[in-house]
Amino acid sequence: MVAYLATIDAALAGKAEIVVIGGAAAALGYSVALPTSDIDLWPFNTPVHFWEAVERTRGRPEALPVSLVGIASPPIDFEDRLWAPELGMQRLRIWVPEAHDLALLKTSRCEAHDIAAIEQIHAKNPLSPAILEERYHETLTQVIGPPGRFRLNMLALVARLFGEAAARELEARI
Amino acid sequence: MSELLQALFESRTRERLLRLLLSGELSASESELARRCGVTPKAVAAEVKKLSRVGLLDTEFLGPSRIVRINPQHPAVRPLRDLLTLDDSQAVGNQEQAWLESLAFWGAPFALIEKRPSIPLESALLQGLKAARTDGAVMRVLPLVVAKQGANIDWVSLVEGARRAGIGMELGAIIALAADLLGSEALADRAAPLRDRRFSRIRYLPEPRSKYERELADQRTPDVVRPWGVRMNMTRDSLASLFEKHLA
Repeated sequence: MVAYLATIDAALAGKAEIVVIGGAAAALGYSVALPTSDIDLWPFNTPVHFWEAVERTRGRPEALPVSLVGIASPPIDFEDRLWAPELGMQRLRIWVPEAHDLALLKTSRCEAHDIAAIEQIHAKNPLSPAILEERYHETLTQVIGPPGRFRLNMLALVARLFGEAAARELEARI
Repeated sequence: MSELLQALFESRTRERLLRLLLSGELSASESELARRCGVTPKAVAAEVKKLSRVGLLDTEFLGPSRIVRINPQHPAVRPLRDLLTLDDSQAVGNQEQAWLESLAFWGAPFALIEKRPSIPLESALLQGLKAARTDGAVMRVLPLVVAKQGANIDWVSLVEGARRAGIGMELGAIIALAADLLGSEALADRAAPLRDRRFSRIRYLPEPRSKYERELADQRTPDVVRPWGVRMNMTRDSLASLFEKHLA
């Protein structure tokens, strides 16, 4: 993944900034072990010359699918908390969400592999249940689909990270 | 290849070839072996010639294809198998890395895993299926590997292996899911022999770790998977998106 981003970096006509989310962010920012090899980007004024560089490098052996996410529900103000892991790029600045924000982004889908990835993030960057709960309420106003679905996702996440007793307590509050 | 095998074999193709032929005493055509080793048929033919000359391999023509198999009577077979197994664990750290690398080689889109056919495709799928009982990331890529490699899988070996390991219904579910996402009736037919109506217990891939995860799996399991008695916290839409990205 880093190899392909470096290829894009070398092919860029000028400086560019991108916000990577999903499994790619978990891999680049938090060393999650088994992300799938596609790169999802948050719509963030990504310059045209970035996409031109992607197009030019598409045939390379290290190329991976790069796409803008259609639907994602990050916590409010998550863009203020983005950070840029040091990946040795020259022109490409790669931002990833802060750990709690990324966890909540993945919680909006919360499939088996999402929970596993969040658990790995938590193992290396312990997440705070209080911050998760606070940002859960912020995110709830953004999510698309039935709120009950996001609530169940959140309970599954908390049960995985902090135990089923903690999830039962949260269940009474949310 | 480890330093030990580099010193002993000098040729990576020879090592891969022996590893394939010694795992389950497989027999295959030279072109099939070339595909599985990730090298040209010419490279395989050269190695087959050398190994046949010393009696380690048997070959016979079947129509236009030369079929190659290990000579099980050769006294070097057992020590070689032991050596390669020993090397698997030493060279790649553990068996898990070997099957993960093999799954990546056959099309699992893992970002950080080297692509290497350390073990045969069928063995990698079976190992992956066992791991999917606890690992959602592995579970997610298995239908994609089946879809990509459907024409190359040794189905008899895979089905027999799954039955022996008691994971026939799980394999059937994965094949049925791949067939549904590909829209392939031929692939769906491959799943049919795995159906075992004696099984009534629901199995989860992966096993849920809380009642909430169980509820998510019960809600989200794709329809085509349910008749197999398998439940998974993975939607058909999400898997379809993975297929769209990686089958193009």
